[in-house]
Amino acid sequence: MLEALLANWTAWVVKHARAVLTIVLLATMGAAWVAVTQFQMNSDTSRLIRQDTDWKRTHDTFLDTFPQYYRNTFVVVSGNQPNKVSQVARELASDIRAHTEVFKSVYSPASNDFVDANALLYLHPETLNDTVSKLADAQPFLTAIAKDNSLRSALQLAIDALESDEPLPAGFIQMSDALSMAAERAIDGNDKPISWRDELFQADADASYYQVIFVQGAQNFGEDMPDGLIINTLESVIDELAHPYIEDVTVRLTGQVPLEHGEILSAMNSAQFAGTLAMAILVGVLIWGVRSLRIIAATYLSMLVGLIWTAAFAMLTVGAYNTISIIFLVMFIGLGVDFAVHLCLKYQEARTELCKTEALIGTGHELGPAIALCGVTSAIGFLAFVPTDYIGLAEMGIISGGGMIIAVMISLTLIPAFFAVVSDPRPPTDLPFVGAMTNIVADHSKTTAYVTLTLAVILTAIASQASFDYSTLSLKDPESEAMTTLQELQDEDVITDYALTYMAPDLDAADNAKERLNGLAEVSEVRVPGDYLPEHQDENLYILEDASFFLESVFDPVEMNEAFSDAALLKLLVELQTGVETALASSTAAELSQSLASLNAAIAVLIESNAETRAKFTDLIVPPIRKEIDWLGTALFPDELALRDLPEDTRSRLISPDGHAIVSITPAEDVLPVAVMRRFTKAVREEVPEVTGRPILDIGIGEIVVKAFATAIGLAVIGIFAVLMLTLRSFVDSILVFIPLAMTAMLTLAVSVLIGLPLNMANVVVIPLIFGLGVDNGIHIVKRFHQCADVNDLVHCSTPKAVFLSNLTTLGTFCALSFSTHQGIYSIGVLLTVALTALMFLTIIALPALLATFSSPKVLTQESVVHTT
Amino acid sequence: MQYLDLTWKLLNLLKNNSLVWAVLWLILAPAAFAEKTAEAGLTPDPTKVVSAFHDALISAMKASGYEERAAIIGPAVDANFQLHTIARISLGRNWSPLDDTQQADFQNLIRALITSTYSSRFDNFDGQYFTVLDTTEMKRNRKRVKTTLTTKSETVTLDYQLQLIENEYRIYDIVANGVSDLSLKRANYAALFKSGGLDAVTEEISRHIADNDSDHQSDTRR
Repeated sequence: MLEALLANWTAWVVKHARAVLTIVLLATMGAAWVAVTQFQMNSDTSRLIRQDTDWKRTHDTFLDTFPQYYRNTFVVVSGNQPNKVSQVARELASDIRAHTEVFKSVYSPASNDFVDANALLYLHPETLNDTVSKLADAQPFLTAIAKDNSLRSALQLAIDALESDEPLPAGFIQMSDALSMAAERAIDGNDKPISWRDELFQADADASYYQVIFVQGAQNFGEDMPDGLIINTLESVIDELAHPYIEDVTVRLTGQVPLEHGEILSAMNSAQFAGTLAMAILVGVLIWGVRSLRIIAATYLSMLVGLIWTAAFAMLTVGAYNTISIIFLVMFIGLGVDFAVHLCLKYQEARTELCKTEALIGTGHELGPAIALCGVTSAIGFLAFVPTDYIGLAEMGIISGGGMIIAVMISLTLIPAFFAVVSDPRPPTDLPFVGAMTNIVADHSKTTAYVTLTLAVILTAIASQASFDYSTLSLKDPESEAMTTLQELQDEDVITDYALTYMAPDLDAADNAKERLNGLAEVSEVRVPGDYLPEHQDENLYILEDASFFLESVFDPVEMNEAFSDAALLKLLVELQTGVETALASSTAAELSQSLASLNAAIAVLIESNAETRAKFTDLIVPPIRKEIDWLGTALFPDELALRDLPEDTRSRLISPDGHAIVSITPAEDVLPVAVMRRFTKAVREEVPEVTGRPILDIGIGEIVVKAFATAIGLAVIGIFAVLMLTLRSFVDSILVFIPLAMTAMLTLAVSVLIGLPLNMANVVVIPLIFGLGVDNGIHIVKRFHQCADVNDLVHCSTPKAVFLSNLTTLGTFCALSFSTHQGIYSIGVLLTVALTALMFLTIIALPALLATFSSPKVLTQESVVHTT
Repeated sequence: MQYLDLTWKLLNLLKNNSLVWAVLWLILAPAAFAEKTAEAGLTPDPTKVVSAFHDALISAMKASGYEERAAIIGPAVDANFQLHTIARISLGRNWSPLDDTQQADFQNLIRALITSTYSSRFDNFDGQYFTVLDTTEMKRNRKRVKTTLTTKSETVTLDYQLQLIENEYRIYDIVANGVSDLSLKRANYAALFKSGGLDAVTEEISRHIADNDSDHQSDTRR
């Protein structure tokens, strides 16, 4: 019945070819308008999965109680001089805060007055002790600067030290270097202020210092601010920051918003790039395989029209693409041409014997049902995810399923209409490697069949090792700034991404939970709000109290305010120069000699230059160091801190208005192996059931995906087997068609094991798809096998060629996907390339061999067979 | 040595003048009373402690030799210095892990260092005089007594920092022209401790004491 319907349809199309082409053209223009104007991309990747679970509710409750943790952007300022990092972070935070129209909250925990005042209290006692010793070293210099509004006392101090009979003190080098640096800056006319705090404390040059500013977008009519706007605004604020230390620090963005935004941009760019590449590959394959300009034009045209219709269909049904479904637009380039290729080659073959109209109708009549069937089976492969909780792939299923049906309709309409109005394609040629194929398939069919079956067993064994990557970040481009920065923060222990969070009803309950959790072997650290106070507060207060004994003199308010003329400065500089030259002559220590040599050179130029430069020299030292002394005056004498002393924005991130207290639980081991992650979450949940955090979300989402994956495979297998049984009406043939498919699935999983590309949230789509896409080849081959006299005939007819070429176009497209930066698209591309290659060889070589070995041609009614020679 | 030497350099100004023997015993007497005043349980007065130490220095400068000077300065250091605080703070975080004997030994070493240093430097009286200017409040139980030392060539500011313990003020730091003696000790000993532990610190102090001693071997024969 279907055959008759399709034959009639083809006859009608051929008769009204011009009208049909015009209508298709107009409809395509309309569809293009819809596809372009309605284009939308779903930016919230968390909506890709239906999460109606307890852990999701716990997470939502957590975000309701502590909305500060909802969708943050981390502005990461880093560098190897902590004071510069802090200064830039502070100014940057205030600049970001000014954009109230875009940002709701800007939290800069490490650069505010509280941290400034209590910075020393938060140091490790050993570091603090060293810092205090360094300050002891600097005490004479600092006192000289503090008590005198000119450089007189400081220079006199240096001169006295140089004139002394005793060896120069170690702290002298520091002072000498400071003077040289300021002198060089003054001489160069460099306006950049010297970061004295970094110079005085001489931070470990190899260490990196980080400050993170947490930024949240404002809400607009209940909707989140678009991620793109947040990122662009932040980037322009960073670009416009004119801080003198901006060159010495690195400012990067990471956190949920940049990660997701980056993923979407990367998905779109990948789709665009892969699409362009796929189009080019398609042309290449067609030129190489078909060698008929008309067939190439027809195929290309039907692909383009189908693509446009599918894009419009996607917007009209689903309404938006997500990071995975967008790649169907690329896949369509390869898949959509398949039906056209089959139709064209069959027509090309038929035209050698029949007149144009008969050939066209005959093609529609014979191939039409197979093509419709292939459309349905492919659609089943895609639609398999629709009934699952994996909305992302369900949406892709709808778009792709629809796309496949569209491709069938377009091919069956456009190809006959096209050839009805253009002249004939050139006659067909054999593919270059048909001879070798005949040899393997026809002459050694038994061997080939058994080798195939043995291979299947081996592949299954390897495939059983396949694993799933539970990381929700597995789709992100690992080279992107957001990902590398996040990894760096993780490596440097700045953030603990894999910590679990428990919301205790009050502080006592938090302390109680801490006690219980600390007993677990799986837990390395438990932090309650009290732990955000300085860890070694008592010891540090003691160290600082001691320090005040000898540093208090620095803060003695007595000043020398007598005028210090340039002449007097010059005189001291000359005196200093003499001292330096003498010391230099007798110095044996390399470090000291170097420092003295620099100082000597700088002073010599300073003496020769003008009063203005010398005044600048003073200005580079005295006012900024006095500012640091003021800071030390606060930081060296802190009071004991209690929870209530923490700044409001910090405290509210630890204790909610209704008293809930955050307990943060860090794993003892690297939880990347999912077994460890499960053990960690299980152990913690036994003590505190209502926890949330990335491990819970990763496992929770991963389990939904794995479940959806299993469901989808089941549905695809059942659906496709049912279709096979219905069409082939032979259990043996259905099983034989199934063998290459199952083998391909196993081979793909085996490759994923061998090349270390685990299954992830995106590429799970590949396995059900293998069944949906691969079965097409099987149907074509089996049908033709039963139409041909023997397997030798089969090898030489147009079908294997069409199968080969249509697979090659699909393969080209999938291969194009594997050049993507988006990890999901990339891994789909790689696995599908492997799968398609396997499918191609298995169906062209193994399937005919299997058929020849285990089945026999039941030659159908002679009149329905078009012979080939 | 660190800036400590700068202090000594300033104090060295006193060295090159001739000794005036006659005044020695006149000056010595009040120094001996300083300790008693503090012990008397009166309202503690930091200036009295500083004056007592000044008097001892003047007496020492007028004494006949190094050993004699040390015999005057040693008891003055015991009476007027908070040796425990000096020892503890100069070692910083390295102090508390020491056992009682080590702490006591180190404190004795500090006493010997201070005594030998002042005995070595204040070796010549040439009309130098101390002036007590005023007393200022510091954090907690501490006060600062500002003084000057005037020699024939210049005036040095000497700020004495004192700590009140058990109703007595005692000196824990002297800031000479802005250079804190305790800072210099701390900075110097921290570096030494880091490289060679307590032994390195005591070795250095012992060496310094030995230097002071040997510089003045001939004094008594004068």
